[in-house]
Parts: sequence; C-alpha cells; structure tokens
Amino acid sequence: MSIVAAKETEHLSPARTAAMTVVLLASILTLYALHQDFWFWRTARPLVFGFLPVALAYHAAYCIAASVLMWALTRLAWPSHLEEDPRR
Amino acid sequence: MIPAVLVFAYLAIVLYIGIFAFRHARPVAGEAEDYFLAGRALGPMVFLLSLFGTNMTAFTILGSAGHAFANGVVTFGLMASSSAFIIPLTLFFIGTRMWAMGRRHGFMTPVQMFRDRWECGHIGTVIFVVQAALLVPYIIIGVMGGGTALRAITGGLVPYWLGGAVVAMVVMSYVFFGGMRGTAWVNTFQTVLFLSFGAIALIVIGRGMGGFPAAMQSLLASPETAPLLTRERFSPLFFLSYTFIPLSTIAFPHITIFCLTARRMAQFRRTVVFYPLCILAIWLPCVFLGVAANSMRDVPRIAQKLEARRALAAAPASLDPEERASLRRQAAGDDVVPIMLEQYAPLWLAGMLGAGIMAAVMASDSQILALSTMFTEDVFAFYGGKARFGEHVQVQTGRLFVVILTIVAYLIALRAPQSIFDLAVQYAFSGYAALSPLLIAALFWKRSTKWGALAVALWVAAAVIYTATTTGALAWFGLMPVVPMTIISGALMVSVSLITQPPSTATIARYS
Repeated sequence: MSIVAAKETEHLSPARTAAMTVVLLASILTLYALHQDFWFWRTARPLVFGFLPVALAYHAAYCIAASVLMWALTRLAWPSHLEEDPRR
Repeated sequence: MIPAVLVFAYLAIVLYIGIFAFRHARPVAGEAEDYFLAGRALGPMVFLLSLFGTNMTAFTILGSAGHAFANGVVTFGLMASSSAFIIPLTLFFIGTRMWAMGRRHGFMTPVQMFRDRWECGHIGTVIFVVQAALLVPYIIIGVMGGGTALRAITGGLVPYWLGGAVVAMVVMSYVFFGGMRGTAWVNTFQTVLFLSFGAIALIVIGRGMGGFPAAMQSLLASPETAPLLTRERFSPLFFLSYTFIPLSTIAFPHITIFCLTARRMAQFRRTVVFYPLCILAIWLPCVFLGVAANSMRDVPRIAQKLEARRALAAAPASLDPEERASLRRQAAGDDVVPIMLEQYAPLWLAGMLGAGIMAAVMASDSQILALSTMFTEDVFAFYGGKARFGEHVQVQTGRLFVVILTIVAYLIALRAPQSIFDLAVQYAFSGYAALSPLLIAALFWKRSTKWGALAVALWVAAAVIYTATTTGALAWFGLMPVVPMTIISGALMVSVSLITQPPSTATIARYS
C-alpha cells in the first residue's frame, strides 16, 4: 500500500511515487528513533537561551520537527480518496 | 475570595456555552447524530481545540509539574514529545479513515464499525464491555478532582462533597442539554484558557524568581538537584516504553468518536500539524516550572516537600508502609505551580489559575458523553431499542444514561479512596494502547477476523487485571507492561485471524 495519495502528487510517475513513499516512511521512522536521544542523556549543559537544559530544548525542538513532518504528510500523502463518498 | 469568585464565574460561563451558546433550533442531521456527534459538522478550529482539550486532564497542568518536580526534565520526553509525534500520526492514519468509514456507513461508535467490519454481534458487546470498564475510572477521577480543586481554591469554604456535586452538576448539565456540540465548545473554551495560562504563568513566575537562569544555576550547583536537569536516573528502555502510551489516545472511545464529528476530512490537516505545537505550548511551561520549583528552598511549603523527599530517599527498606505513603504524599509536587503563583502572582492571576485548574479537572465531560453514545448505540440500538421505540427515545435514553452515570460516579467518588482510581487510570492507558491493534486491523488489514478481535479484547482485559494486581507483572527486560501488552495484542490479532475464517468479500470490499 502506498501512503502517497495526495492530489498534489497525482502527476508523479509510479517510480517517483514509490520513492516518495520510501522517503516519508523513512522520515517517520527516523523521527521515532530521534526521540531516543541517548547523546544528551547525562548532560544538562549547554543551557539553551541561558536557562533551558539541553535535553528539554531538544525535545521542545522535537515537537516542532513533529509538526513539520505532519505538514509534509498532509501535503504529500493526504488520503484524498477517502473524502469521496462512493455512495454518491 | 477573589479566586473563588473567578472560579464560580468560570463555571457559569461554561454552563452558558455548553447549554445555550451554540444550540441549534433544529437538528442539522438526524436527532441522534445531532446530539451525539454534533451533526458531524464541527468546524476546523473547534475540531482542533476541542480534540486537544479532550486529551488534557488535570494531570497536564498539575500532574506534569508534580512529576517534573520529582523526576526532572525527563517528564517532557516521557509524556509530551512522544505524544506530540505519535498522537497526530495516529490521527493522520487512523482518524481520517475512521472519519471516512463513519461518513460512508453511518457509524457513531467504534464498536458499530467492528461489528460491521467483522460480521459479528456479541463479540462487539465484549469489546464494548472492555472499553467501558477502562473508561469509568476517568469519570470518577474527574468528579474527585472537581471536589478537591474547589475545596482548595475556596480555602475549604466549599467542602469536598459539595465541590464534587457542583462540578458534577455543571458537567452533567451541559452534556445533558448540549450533547457533543455543547461539550466541544466548552472544550474549545477550556483549551484557550490552558494555552493562555501556561504562557502567563511562565512570565509572571520567571520575573518573580529573578529570572530562570539563576534558578537553573542554583539547581546545577547542588548534587541533590543537578540530576533533575538530566535523565541519568532513568533507563533508556523505560524511556522508550513511554512511546507506546500515546497509542492509547486514538483507541479511547471518546477520541475515536470525536474523529467522526468533523464536517470535512480537511479538518484533520490543521489538527495534525498544530497538535504538536499545542502540546509544546502547554507542557513546556508546566514541566519547566515543576523543575524550577526545586530551587525555591526558601519557600516553607517547597522546603517541606524537599525534606520529605530526602527522608524518603534515606528511609530503610523496613520503613512502615503507612509512614512511607505519608512521606510520599508530603513530597508530592502536584501543587507546586499553585504555590509558585501564590508566591509570585497577583490575586487575579491566582483566580485565573483556579479557573485553569477547573478546566483541567472537568475533562470528564467527553468520557461521559462517549459512554452514553456507546451505551445507546452499541447496546440500546443494537439489541432492538431504537427499532422498537424510535430515535427520539434513543436520545432521551442517552440523556438519562448521562444523569445516572454522573450520579453513580459522584457516589463512588464520595466513598472510595482516590488512589485506587489513580492507579486504575494508569492501567487504562496501557489497556487502551493494547486495544489499538483492533482499529489498525479493522481499517488496514483485509484478512483480520472477529476471532482475532475477540482474542485481543480478552487478552487486554486479562492483562490489565494481571498488571494491576501483581507487582512487576509483564515488566519484561526493564520495559513497562504497555510494551509486551501491545505487542502480544498485535501478535494475537495476526495469528488468530490467519487461522480463522475472514469476513465475506462483499464486506471487505466496502472497506477498501
């Protein structure tokens, strides 16, 4: 099943659609893996903006990254076919 | 007195919004759809803010700060950033499909879809029972939280029993009269209040403390508090386990049902993009303030908590359980944000905080409505009530159910200790996460069967009872029980489905 189904990507060739699917799935898995930030596990410094421990700042940035990924998904993989009611 | 007045003004506004503000003279859809699903016609902003508000409970404002006070910055990674990624992802993949199937086939509850998708009747009832049993503790906790919060805000002027009754009455009234539309607008109002509260509290407290950099330097300077700014006390596997918990959100019936209320599927676009930012806006101030509270050693109530924490850490294993529980209660930081505001904020802001807390503890409205929807659709209508008595009686039955459920929850809240229900809610998260394979299989896997679904429901019921009654149960390899529970659930769905008869091709085709 391809997750790329948005109207914005209708013009793409099957090969490019498949590539887009791989990129999006890889982005999802990468972001999931990035949640486990063992590299900041035992350190509080640097304090971002002078007061935010680095791990807290990292996870705040992670929320923004999640929002960006969701934006990309809604642009490139929006399941528009579900909006059409087959009964009509 | 001013905070109490502001809180009662808030309750009056909520009551007005829930009952009158967005009432339609005539239903925009069928009577049941209008009452239980707001006529499937919620607009984009109400959909986003209400969905977010539905997920925000008393824990978000008070519990998250309390958890951060005791455990440090790990709280944000455990509960906020994992939710900021997983919840919108499940809304994107599962919520949109649930919405489409609801539109296409007229479903109002997840069990209706399971019954149709897997051509089953009584297995759907088993799933209903498991879902309902896991949802009830939330409703009771909501009433308890209302009673406790009103008593605290009014300085004991309103006793617990009366506070619980007032909050239960307000929630019951707008759910009874306003249905999903009233509840959604109240949740929207509450979310706006949450979002404003976090930012204001952060600025006011920061100024009062003389700036956060000094507070952080003071924490780093002490070997006792420095670890709170790292995650060295937590294992990476425990941290990883927490990414399974947000799977529960989409499986909660009140969230699944809420997905059916959007006017258009496009409503999900804005919701999934902004959801992580809303989590950031609310959780970051709460967690940060909870950690920063550890630097307020000169404030007697904070100093007492720190002292109790020290005593707890130094206590021998042979310490009397009651004494240990008492120390835990003294060390608990659920009230650190109110203490900080009391210390640094003007009275009017303390009143705003009171309203914010009330908004948080009144999150049980969606669960009450969801349980009422499930009862009337999955039991009353399914077993012939709607066909026999008509849609109008069905809606009135739903309203009666709201009244009975609220009264029962209130009576239980008066008698039972809160700790039992706090625990029940914790296990319910794992239970709902482990139920998520049901939705995934129903929407994405053609070969899934009703027997697979039954195996999942029975496994989840057994696992929740087992983990709740046995210390260390299913905590394999340092993981939290939610991980094996969810993985086994998925494995059962696949293995049992593969050895049993799938539904007819005609049914499967309707879900393609």
